[in-house]
Amino acid sequence: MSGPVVGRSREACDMQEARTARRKVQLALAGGVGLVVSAGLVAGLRPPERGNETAPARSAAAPAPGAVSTNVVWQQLRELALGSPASANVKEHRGAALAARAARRAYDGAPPRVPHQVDQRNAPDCLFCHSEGLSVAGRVAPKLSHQPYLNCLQCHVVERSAGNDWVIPETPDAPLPQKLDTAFEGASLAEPAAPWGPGAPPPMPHTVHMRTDCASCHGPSGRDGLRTSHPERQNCLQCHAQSANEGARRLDGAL
Amino acid sequence: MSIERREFLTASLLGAATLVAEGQARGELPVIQDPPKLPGVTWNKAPCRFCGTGCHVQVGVRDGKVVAVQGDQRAEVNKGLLCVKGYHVPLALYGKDRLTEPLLREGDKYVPISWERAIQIIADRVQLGDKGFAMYGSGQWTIPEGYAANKFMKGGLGSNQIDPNARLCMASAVTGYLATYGVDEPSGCYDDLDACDVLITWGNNPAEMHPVLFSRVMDRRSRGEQVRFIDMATRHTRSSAFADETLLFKPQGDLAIANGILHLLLEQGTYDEAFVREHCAFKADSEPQDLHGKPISFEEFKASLKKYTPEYCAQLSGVPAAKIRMLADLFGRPDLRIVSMWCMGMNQHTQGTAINTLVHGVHLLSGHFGRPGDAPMSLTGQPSACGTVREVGTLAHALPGGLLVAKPEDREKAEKIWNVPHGRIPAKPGYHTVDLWKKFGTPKEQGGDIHTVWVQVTNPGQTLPNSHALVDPSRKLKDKFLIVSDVYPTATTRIADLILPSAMWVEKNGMVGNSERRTQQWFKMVSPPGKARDDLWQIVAVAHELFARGHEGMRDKDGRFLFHIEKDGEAAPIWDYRHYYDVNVDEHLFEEYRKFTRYKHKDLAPYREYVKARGLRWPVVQQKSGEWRETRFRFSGFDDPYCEGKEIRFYHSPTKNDRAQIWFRPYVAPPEVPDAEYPLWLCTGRVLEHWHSGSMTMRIPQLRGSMPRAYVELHRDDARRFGVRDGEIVRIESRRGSLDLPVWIDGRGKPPPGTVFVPFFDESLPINRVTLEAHDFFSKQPDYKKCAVRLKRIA
Repeated sequence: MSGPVVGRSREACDMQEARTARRKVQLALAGGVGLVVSAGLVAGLRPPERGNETAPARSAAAPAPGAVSTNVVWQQLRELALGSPASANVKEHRGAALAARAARRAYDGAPPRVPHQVDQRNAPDCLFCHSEGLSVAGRVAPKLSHQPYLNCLQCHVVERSAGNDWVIPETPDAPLPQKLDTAFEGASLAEPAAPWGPGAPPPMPHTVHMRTDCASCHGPSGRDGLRTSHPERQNCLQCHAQSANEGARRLDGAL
Repeated sequence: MSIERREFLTASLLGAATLVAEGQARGELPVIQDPPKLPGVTWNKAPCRFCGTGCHVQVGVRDGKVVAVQGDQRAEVNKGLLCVKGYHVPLALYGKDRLTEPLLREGDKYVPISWERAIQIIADRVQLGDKGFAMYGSGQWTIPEGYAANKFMKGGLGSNQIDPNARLCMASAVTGYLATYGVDEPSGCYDDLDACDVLITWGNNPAEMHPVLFSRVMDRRSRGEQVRFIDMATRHTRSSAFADETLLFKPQGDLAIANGILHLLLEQGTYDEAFVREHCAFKADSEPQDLHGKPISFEEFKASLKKYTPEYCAQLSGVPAAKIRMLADLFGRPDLRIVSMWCMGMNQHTQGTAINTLVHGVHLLSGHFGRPGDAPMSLTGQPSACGTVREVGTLAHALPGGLLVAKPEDREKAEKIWNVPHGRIPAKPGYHTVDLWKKFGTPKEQGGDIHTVWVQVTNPGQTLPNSHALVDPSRKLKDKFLIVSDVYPTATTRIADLILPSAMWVEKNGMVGNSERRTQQWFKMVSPPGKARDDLWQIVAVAHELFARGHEGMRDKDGRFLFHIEKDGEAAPIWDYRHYYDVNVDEHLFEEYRKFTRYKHKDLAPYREYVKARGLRWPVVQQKSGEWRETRFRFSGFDDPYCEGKEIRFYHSPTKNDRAQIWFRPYVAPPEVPDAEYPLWLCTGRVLEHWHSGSMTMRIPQLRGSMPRAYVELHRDDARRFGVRDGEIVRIESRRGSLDLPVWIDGRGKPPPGTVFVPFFDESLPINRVTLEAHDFFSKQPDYKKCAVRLKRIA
């Protein structure tokens, strides 16, 4: 964020565009919050069955009647902010969500690779989009899951695939080298730990190291199947046991 | 459903509350339930395999394979953070073309042979003539590996023909420390980075090369701290993007900048008069040249610097006089804490010793020394350049613990610890790297007295400068034999006569030492693939084969095997790989090596202390309580026990009076400068994603995907001048060789007009065909950062 401002006119233009886009979202969010406030005032007073009537029937998983008022409002807010109908956030989508997440990582816990072009020469202003998370035209810039570091490209490198020349110029005379195979099989995310009893909050299946902001994956712009059903609750660790397996507890310094 | 939800919330809260209450009653942490059976990942500590920063990782192992790593949150070095290489380090083990069996060249193909045969072949080569058998090792050798190699060569074969790749990497830092303090390695440590107000890098790009250290400083800004970062460089890099000021200087201009600062400190009277009076002396080059030069007076020193006015230095360096004044003003302020940091820019330099001593001199003269945040600090590129090469002394002139082969009393100490006959170690140093490879490439009858080189853990076929002169010639001589121990096919195994498959990283026990004097330890966690075996075992096996053949050097004064290790009162057969892990060979060798470390106050703790720690910084001194205490700030009385209460004490002073030496070093032009025929400077170096010659990182799809091949960075003006496009293949040509590379304009780095940059990681585009082998007089380290080239269009 505090990179120098010398010789960055081009970036400045890009930033201007991004800033405008972001302002739109912020406006939408602000409007949304306004709606929440007013709707919440009314909805919160409504009896449950009437709340049920107002719930859009888009979700395959019917929201819990008791919790519906806030959930519905959050869902509406999300739709408003993201500009697209909230698709189903159901368990069945979790596998696909985890697979999509894993595709960009060497193993669970590895830093994801960057799926877009970045400025190779300077310190790109990643936090502009990723500090709070951002969604533009259906593309989501996930919120940072960890405390901000300044040198983002230290850990996150650009993902290069055939046909893009984001990294270095590609020419017919210097084609990409043959991709080398690896026999490495990275650890994948542990199976979600089963709650101790019916209806109990599930413990976390992963460490909290570098994943201190749950909203990055589980917040309103998280992937289908990963989003929390109760984004209004802020203190996740109150109910969800931290690092529910021994290895994770050890890594988080608890053992 | 609402009722269900409310019920479960209540239930779970009640449940948790009950358990919390129970837990408190039992005095234990509350646990919701037994940990679920996870897919059996076990975690253990190890330092990262790559650079000299020395980050610790937690290594996750399942079913005999490494499946994940995580930054170790208990490690002081990295505090849980890694860089992209570190996060992908497990993949370095699993390239599909790992070497898995010994291979012998027969005509134009390689045939698999047994380990017994391979060991016999090496023993045969030794017996062709002990003195012509050389080892070329590495700053990636673990401490016990380097120690065993050093003992095998110097204590066993009675030969000093052993030198490491670190000669190409930090030899000038060593000579700089020796000439200044009389003893090697930094006085400060990474803690200085937490305390400095100003960070000055001298030809260094830590954002890519030492990212975790760089973040350690830069992230202080996120916490609202003020850190001024001045980036002195010969090209604009990723580090420059974070700098308050980037001062682009002409190659070799660093000498002028340092002299300009010294001049101004004296001229303006802003030097630290008390510090200099109490703790410093002055030196200049002697005739003939010698590492310790001749003493000069303060007046002589001042007179020598008279001509280095900011204007004159601006002319030499290309940095405006005002900026040189700005630097001198910073050093002239006693209230600031200043860290100077450098790596290859100052070391791979034909005046490497000079510029190293100059930067120490700037800190000493200004008194920016010995307080947290005030330190001149050199960084290393390899995980154990310090631990193995500098401390174990795997150099042609050195012995463990900072001792020298040239000193009779030092040889005697080594012979005593090794229990070998007096006179075993020759007084004459062996060949330094450049000479070693020249001798290997010279026919015997023309004085090429090296007939065999055994390379371990390094890739000279790609990394030696001017490979046409240093690598290729021996391959045309029938009686020369090249043995290479490595984990993957490399530019060096491809030209080898015998290839030995090695174990790497957590496939073996190990110890390394990072850039801040921190000694680190790990245990073997997985098995190496196929028949790959530990490098250390390979050395012991050859030694034992020679012992069995009656080689006198391989027995000590009591007739026992040179690597005699006892288990239950009997010799453990560690030369037999099946029994190699019956004992902890690392621990036995380390405890023996530890005896050497007392002579120069580089005290190491017992092995078991390193098992418990995420590394300890030497000297590690035992306290009255029995506890072992590390030292963060060497020569500073508040922390270093060997200062004996004095505020500052240079207890290994070359002048034996507790004083550090401030050197006068004149500006000297580089040996090859661009001219009409070769009009461009060539600088070579590294990139974030790849580690050195890329033999590991180029096999990691994520890293290779991000940085797939080498390129030549070119300034837009030069591109226009030569009429080349971005991506066009051009020929870069020096007096020594040429290479065709794609052009990258405004790429990762941005050289100024007149300079091109090429990274050296890509085996298919080896830039060292083009580089120059000219080297520093004292350190014998070549200069990879500047030579003259021309650019030709080939389309």
